[in-house]
Amino acid sequence: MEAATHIKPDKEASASLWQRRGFRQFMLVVPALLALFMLFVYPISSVLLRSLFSPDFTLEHYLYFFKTPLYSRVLWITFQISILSTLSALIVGYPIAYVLRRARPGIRNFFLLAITLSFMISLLVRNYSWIIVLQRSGVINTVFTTLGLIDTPFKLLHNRFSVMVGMTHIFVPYIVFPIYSVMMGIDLNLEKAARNLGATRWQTFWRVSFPLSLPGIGAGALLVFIMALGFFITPALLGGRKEQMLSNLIQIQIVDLLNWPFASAMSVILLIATLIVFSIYNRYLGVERLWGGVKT
Amino acid sequence: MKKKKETQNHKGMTRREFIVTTGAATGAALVTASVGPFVHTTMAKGGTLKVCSYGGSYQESQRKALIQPFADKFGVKIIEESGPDIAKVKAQVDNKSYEWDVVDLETRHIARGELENLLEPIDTNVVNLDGIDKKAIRKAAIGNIFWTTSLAYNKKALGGKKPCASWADFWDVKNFPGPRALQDQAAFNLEFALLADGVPKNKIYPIDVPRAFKKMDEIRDHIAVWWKSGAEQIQLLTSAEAHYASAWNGRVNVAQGKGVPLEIVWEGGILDLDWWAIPRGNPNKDLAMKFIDFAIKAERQGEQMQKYIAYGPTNLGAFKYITAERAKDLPSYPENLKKQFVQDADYWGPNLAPLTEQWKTWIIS
Repeated sequence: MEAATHIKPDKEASASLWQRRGFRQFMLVVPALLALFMLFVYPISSVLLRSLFSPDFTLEHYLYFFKTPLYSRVLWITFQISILSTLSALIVGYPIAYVLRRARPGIRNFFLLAITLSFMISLLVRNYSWIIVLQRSGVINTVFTTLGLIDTPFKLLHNRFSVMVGMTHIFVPYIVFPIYSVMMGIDLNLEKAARNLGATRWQTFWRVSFPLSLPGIGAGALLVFIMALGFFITPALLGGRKEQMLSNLIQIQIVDLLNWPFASAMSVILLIATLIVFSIYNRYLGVERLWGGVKT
Repeated sequence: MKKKKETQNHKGMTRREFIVTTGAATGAALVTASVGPFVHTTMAKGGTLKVCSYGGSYQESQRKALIQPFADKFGVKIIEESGPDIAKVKAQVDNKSYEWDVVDLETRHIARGELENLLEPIDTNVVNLDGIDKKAIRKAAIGNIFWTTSLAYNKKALGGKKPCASWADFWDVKNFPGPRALQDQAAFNLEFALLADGVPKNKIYPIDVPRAFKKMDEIRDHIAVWWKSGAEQIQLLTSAEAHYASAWNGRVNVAQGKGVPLEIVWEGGILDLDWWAIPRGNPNKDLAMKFIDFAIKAERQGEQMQKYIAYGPTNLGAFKYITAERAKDLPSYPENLKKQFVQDADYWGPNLAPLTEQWKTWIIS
């Protein structure tokens, strides 16, 4: 009996807590927060700690990174490849989204499905397919040499160009969907109004349609750029000797050299680079737009 | 990274799967998950042993010739995994949580593991070393195969032209034209460069680094492809994207078996080993030692190399169980052996980090 009277007030307290709307909403996100903590906050923190303590506090790994020309040069190559592949994916993806927005629903759904399906094909398969297409004895060179248009095959593979082709192929769906979803929210009557007021097709596009689709471009470009910074496999398979990414060097430090503190420092530097890009985006476009919200 | 075994990259797939997941450093979980444990269903009265190797036809050869017979003979339940590297061994030893009792590792991993004290010393009271090649004995590992990285070419692509017979020929792009491929790493290439520059096989180590890089300068712009995964070398040679490439003998052998017109040049080949090792502190190490003892027996290796895979036995007695015809395809066949030399793991152990940095700096400039 005595125990029961002790428990009772607790029960009431928890009941009233449970009745509060805020608390119940909070409980809904607890699993997500736990997962975020275990799968993101904890690992990232241990990487950060590993890069700074070995076992005493030290900045030597960071100093070494910036002191050794190799690493800043590879970081620069990583940025170059990321920027170029983002631009290239935009150039290919934007017209697709533009046309899809205006296509009949049947055709639109067919193409959206086709783009979605490309997510399901293994990265390796897609990369090796490009090797088959671009190599010396590949489809393109065979056609040109058979037609007698060229004597020596084009060098299409294992250079910056083939990396761009492969990465663009992978990134286009990630560009198309954000732009498409932003475009779906644009009233096409605005274009009709512009035309009605005497604007040419180009003026209508550049002064009405394009500015309105900018949030989609920003969201897609950010997503792809951040993915590209950590990319590894496509530059490794399709690139030449100069297409070295930072993630490639991180892997060597982890697997071959067991220099985990330095690998951690390199990862943190790549993460900081990503966060800088992210904050620039947030400053000018607003991170809410990534998921289709409105900047407040 | 190197070599052999034809399906996995260094075993190929493993490497590439790892590549995919590396940034997140979750490679270990994904690689093993993608291969899946292969559980032998033998009655487990003799305990359970977890063996990790490089997958593909290589691990299959071990399964048929070593693992299943061991399981049958001693009533041990064996759980197989794939995709080993020393980083995962370190994680297991640091956390005292052992996913592997016996692990197949390449020399550079073994050298690193011994430097960092991650491997259990071999108990020679249990592991009988009679007949084992001296080159295959280390403090904390016993070699289980010899494999070769050497020059290979596509005979058909040369169209009747005289093929390169040495690394000096490979460097001679005037008299031996044709697109070439090398692996994107310092190890092996620096040795090949010194051979091409006329350094005798027994004077390669310690590597004269400036001389080796100077020689590499000569060939850099003639290399059409710097390959990274084991699958690439054969794909490049098969498709004639490269007429000449450095390649692993096991994979070349498998491609030859499929009718691809590839040839291997044993002259100037570099022998390396794969090793059996035990993660330090493993509570199951007694059974693991027993397995290693069993797996290096002449008869077991003989069956493995005769029937299932073209690598060289480390137990010299194994040649008794291998036909003369088959032996000619193996890296440690005496005729082949004298044209090659063994990579010096103790040179590469401490030099791998600085030379990797120098290599990467060289290759992007």
